[in-house]
Order: sequence, then structure tokens, then C-alpha cells
Amino acid sequence: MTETQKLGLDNFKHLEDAVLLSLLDGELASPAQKRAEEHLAACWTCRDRQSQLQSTIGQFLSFRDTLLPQDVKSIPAPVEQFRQRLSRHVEERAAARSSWSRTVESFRAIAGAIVFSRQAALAAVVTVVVLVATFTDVLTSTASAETLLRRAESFETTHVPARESVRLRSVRMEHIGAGRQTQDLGTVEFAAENSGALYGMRGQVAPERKSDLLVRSADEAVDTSKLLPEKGALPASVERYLEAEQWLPDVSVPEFRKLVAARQSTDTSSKKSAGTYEVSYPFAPAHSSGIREARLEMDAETYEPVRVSIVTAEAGEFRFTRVAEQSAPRTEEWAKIFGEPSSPALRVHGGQSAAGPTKISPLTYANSVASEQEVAATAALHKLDACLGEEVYVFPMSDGTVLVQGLVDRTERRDAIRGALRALPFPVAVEVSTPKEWVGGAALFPPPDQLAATSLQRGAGAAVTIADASGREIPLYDEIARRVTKPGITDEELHQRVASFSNEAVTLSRQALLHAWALRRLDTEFAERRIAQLPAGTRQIAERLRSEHRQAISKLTRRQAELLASLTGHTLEEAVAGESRQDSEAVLRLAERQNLLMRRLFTMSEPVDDTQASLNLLFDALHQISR
Amino acid sequence: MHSDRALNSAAILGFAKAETPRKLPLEEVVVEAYVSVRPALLSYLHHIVGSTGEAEDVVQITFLKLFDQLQKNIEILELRGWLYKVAHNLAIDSLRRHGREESASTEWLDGLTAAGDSAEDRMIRRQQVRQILGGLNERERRCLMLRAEGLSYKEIGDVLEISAKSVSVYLTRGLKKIEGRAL
Repeated sequence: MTETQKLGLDNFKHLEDAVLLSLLDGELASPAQKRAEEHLAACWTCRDRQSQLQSTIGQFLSFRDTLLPQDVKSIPAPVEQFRQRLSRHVEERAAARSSWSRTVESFRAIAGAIVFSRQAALAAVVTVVVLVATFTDVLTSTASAETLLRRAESFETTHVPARESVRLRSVRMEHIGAGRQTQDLGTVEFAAENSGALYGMRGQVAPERKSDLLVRSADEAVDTSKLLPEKGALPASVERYLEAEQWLPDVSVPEFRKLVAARQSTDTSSKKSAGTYEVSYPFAPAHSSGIREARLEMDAETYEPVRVSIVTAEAGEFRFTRVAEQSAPRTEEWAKIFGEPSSPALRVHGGQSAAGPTKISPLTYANSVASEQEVAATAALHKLDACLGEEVYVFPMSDGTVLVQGLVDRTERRDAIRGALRALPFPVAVEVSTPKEWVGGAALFPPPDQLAATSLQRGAGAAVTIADASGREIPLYDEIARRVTKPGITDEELHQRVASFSNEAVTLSRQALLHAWALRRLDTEFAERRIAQLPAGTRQIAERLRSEHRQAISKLTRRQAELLASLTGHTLEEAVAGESRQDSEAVLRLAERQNLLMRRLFTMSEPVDDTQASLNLLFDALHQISR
Repeated sequence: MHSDRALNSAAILGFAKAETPRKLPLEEVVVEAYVSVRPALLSYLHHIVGSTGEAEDVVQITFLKLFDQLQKNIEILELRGWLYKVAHNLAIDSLRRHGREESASTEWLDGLTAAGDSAEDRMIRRQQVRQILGGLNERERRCLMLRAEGLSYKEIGDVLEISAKSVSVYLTRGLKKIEGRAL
């Protein structure tokens, strides 16, 4: 104990910052903590200081958030990639080791031994809440099977047949009896194109045998028994159930969901065995169908569904296994079949169709209205800034679905976009690739807002303007140099500084232009006529997207004006409240004008005759647009 | 109230409901742990390596190492500290491998802002943030970043191989340097 402490005069000395911070962080040992708390209770100065430290912590956190690039937070975990990497890693290890298999049961013993030090309070609480939420979701067995099923679904969404081709899939049907003996129940073949409708027949599917082809293009009843094992092979109760559920054995996730929809149970489980995941959906005990459970097996790496099993209580197991899949050209014959206008009733094809072929195609904004799905997909892209100059479009399709198609520069971008769309609560067809991957792929549709297409193409294709300060020809070089110079820097450093200043100015301008393009596109996509029928909540989302672009434009142009003002002394008049809002056409025209002028003044890419006149025009444009 | 300790170890390793028997293979446990802990590790690593791709790679290797440890039945005390320490060391290795030395310079800020090219806000704040955080030295910065992720002084000390007492000093000094600076 020190002399001051002995005399009880300790409270006269203020606490050091380190002590105050340690106290906030819960890092003081208990006697020191007690002393510090007593002092604090008595001392306004130290309490004030402590709250100052607390707010500095807040400042630091906001700096830190500012610094993190957007994509660190928004790119979903590349789970598949990591899973594959891990399984490669496991294989490498396994090669060097005889036995490695382990289950959670033994692992739990280790987990029990893991000890955590006392938690610091600040971020830990939040982390814990998040982690617990995540894990309860992922690890309850329901979610685990569901998660696997969803992954299989994404596999299917991203592997729809290419345009101008037809996918043919053969499924072998087998019965596994009590003594494990296998009985072949024949094969069925399914044909599909990217519309999602199912076409199938027993034996080998061929357009010439159209009369035998079962077509299901909407959710109305057809005689599915044509595609199930012969009468008598399945127990009657199972057959009735399958027909009632309209289940077709094409070994796909949507059909599997149909199969288990009426099982009257919510149990699920999943397991992994040599190269496959298997999800099991038990039926309620004594279910009237006599089915005990339905299983779906999928490839452990790709999640491609490979087999569906129906396990019955008394008659053994019925297996439906994908045995072959190939892609065939979409011949005239196929086109006629697929081109059938979708009829309200499901039917068995016979003879030539009277109506001409109509295939699923994108609709223009002019002759369609927006769906909630379309708004949600657009909002998801907006969140990723994919509306800012990237060629990714949301197409309302003639069958009511939504297709997202586009080209992006980098595979990370592609994955981010695919990931965000997959996270939507409904399936969206996604065809987003890098240009390299697209070679030989399906045709790209022109942007749905045909009107804006030329302007968009031009902008989206243009390379980012990089200001070039290698010479002194930038019109505003001297002004910028005066602004950014520092005592004692070399000419080279000055050039660098001028270049980065110009870059920033031009980038701001380009960003504003991209937002203006996006705003115009949204105004076309979500014109009042197209969204009038949507629920209020969905309309608000569409409105929010637009207003975010407007805010961004206003902020960016103001910032540009500030930069300019710091060079020339001009000032931007304050916007007058209540001034009428300009339509997106006008905003785009102004944005294009300011971008041209900015490039004239800050780069050498455009010729400029009269710097002062250009500056005046630019201020004028910025003034109008920032309102 | 649950003790934080129990909650956390259970949560990170996926035993939020430890009483429910389940048969997840170890790989799946590691994958799920990866998914949950990744965001926190990623944001810390990003400040060191300055690129999203590289940070992601380091996170993944960290979890491969976690898998190895668990598989070998090696007890990990203080799992979170362990994850950060392994990740931190891997990140430093990665910097060295690419011939970039750790330095007190503001080079890491360049990487950060370049990677976030589409967000106009970042661009606008670039100058100010550079000035403010550029004034911190590497230790101060890392202590603050780790503390912001919720690590205790001891955990931070273990990651950076300094004492908890030093952590307290670096944190205080770091905060003082940015006090009163706003964007």
C-alpha cells in the first residue's frame, strides 16, 4: 500500500486513462476495480473522462466500419468452395492415416474440454447472440436436411438446360425386396427445357412418339401412373398416394417436396456416406399411404440429386435412380412439343398441335406488370450495387417466373450475385457469368428496357476513366496543384497528388452518372403502371430503391461541387425546399452533362476550349441535379 | 443466466443444444463453425492483408487447421483466441510471402479503399480516414481491431505475443490518438 493510500487520500488522485479503459472493459483485478469504482462514484472529472473514452470507442468503431470494403460484409461465405477444400484436405490426410472417421459423439468430449476465458463485454454479447441463432438454425436436424435440400435446389436452379437444347434424363426404377433382392421395374425418361415443365414417358423418350408423352405444364392433375412402375408393382396404397400427390419420379427437388408434402410429420434427418448426402423425411407412423419414409440422395460435392427412395412399411424399398442425363439439340420436333401454348389442363399429347409454338421468353416492361419476385430480385441486386453499370438484368418471363441474366467481370462478383439471389425465399433462374464462361453458352437477351438500351450499353461498356496527370494539359492542373501541394514535395509527388485528386473527382462524377442510369432503369422497370397491382410493402421497396439512387446522386454531386469550390471559390446554392423533383430522364441528361464536363476539366480525354465556360456549365448542371 | 463461457464454447463448436444427440460428421461441424465465425475473422484479417480474396484464403486455412487439431483429439484451450492467433500468424506469413513487409505505413489503407471501389461514401472519406488511422502505429491498430472483435486483453496479448498490460497501454494510446476526430 502506498503512503497516500494509507492516509486514505487516494481519491485525490485522478484515474489514469488506462485504468478508466480497463474498468470499462472489465479488465481490472477486483481490488483495483473496487478502488476505481469508488473513486469514480466520487469524481465528476473522471466520470466525464470515462464517457469521453467511451465515445472515442464509438468513433473508432465507425472508422473501422468505413474502412471495410462493402464486399467483405456482403459476399456470402463460399461454403461450397470451403467444403470442397476441406474434403480434399480430409482425403489427403486420410491417405496418410489409416482411420480417421469420427462423429460428433466423440468430438463432444473434446468440446467439453474447451475452456473460454472470461468474455469481454463489448462485442461478445452480440457475437454470442448471432452465433447461437445461427447454430440453432443450422444444427437442428430439420434445418440440416432442409439446408441440404436447399443446396440441391440451388444446384438445379443453376443447371437448367441451356436455350436451344433439351435435357433428357433417364431414371431407373427398382424394387428392393425383403431379402435385399433387386427387381428391375423399367426406366422412365424425362425431357425438359428451361421452362421448368416436365415431359416424360416410359422407356426412351422421343419426339416421334409424341402420343405417349406425358406433359405437365401446370399444377393440375394428369395421369401420373403412366410414369410410375406398372400397375401392381407398387402397393395400392402407395400408388394412390403418389398419384394423389401428382408425384413424378424425375429425381428432382420440387418433385421430392411434393412427395413429402403430405407426410404428416416434421421430422427430418441427414447423413453423409461415401460421396453422397442423404436426407430422410419420415412419414407419420401408420401413414395411410403405407410409406415409412422418403429419402433423397445427392452428390456430396455438387448437391446434384441422384436418387429418391420410397421406403414402405411392408413392401420394401422403391428406388428411383438417375442413370443417364444428356443434352440434345432442340430440334423442330422438340420445338413443336415444347412450343405448345401452356394449357390450363394437363394433358396427354396426341397429334399435331393446332397452335403455333410459343416458348418461354422474356417480356418487355411495356407489356407486363411487375411481380413481387421481380421487385425482390431487383432489390437484391441493388443491395450489391449490381445496378451501377453492370450488365445484369431482371427479366419478367412469359411463364410468370423471373430470370436474372448478365455478364460480370469477375468470378467473385458472379458468386456474390448468385449467392444473393439464391438467398431469396423463392427460386430465381440465374444466368450470370463472366464473359469467358459465356462463350458458347445461351444467347443474351437485350436489356428489358429497350429504350434505355443504347445509353446503358454505352455507359456500361465504357472503361473507368482514369485521370491522367502525366502532362500539364489538364485544364485545371494549376488550380489542383495549388490545392494539393505541400512545402518541400518533388514535382513527381505533386503529379501524383494531382492525379489522385482528379481521379477522385472523376470517380465521383462517374458514380453519379451510374446512379442516374440505374434510377432511369428503375423508373422504367417499376413505372406506376407496372407496380400498381402490388401490395403496399412491395411498392415501398421499389420506391426505396429509387430514392436511394436519388440520394446518392444528390450526395455525390454536392461532394463534387465542394471539391470544385475548393479549387475555384464557386459555391453551390442551397437547394430550395419544396422544389419539384425532376424526372429520371432529366436527371440522366444532367448527369451525362456533368460527367462530360468533369472529364473535360479533370482529364485530357475530352478537348476543352474554354475552361471558365465549362466550369460555369458544370456548376449549373451540378446545381440542378443536386436538388 | 448462462455463463458466457459455456454459451460461447457451445456456440462456436455447434453445440448450442448439446443435449440433442446428433451425428454430424466432424467436417460438417467445421464447415458450420467456419460459416459462423468467418465474418468476424474476415474483417480483422482484411485490415492486415488488405484484400478480400487473401483474407478469405487465410480464414479457410485457419479452419483446415482447426479440423486437424480436433481430429487429432488435441484439446484447444480458449478456442477463440486460438482461431485469431492462427489466423493472425497465417496473415503475417502471407504478407511476407508476397514480399510485403509489415510496416507502420498507411499502405494497408490503400488496399482497403481500392477494394471497396464501388462505394462512393468510402471514396469521400478516404482522405480523412487515412489521416486519422494512419496516425496509429501497427500495434495500436491491431490491439484496437482485435478489441473491437470482442477479444479480452489476454486473448489480444496471446495473438500479438505481448502482455495484457501492454495491450491496455496500446489501447489507451490508440484511443487518445483518435480522440475528437470525426469524419
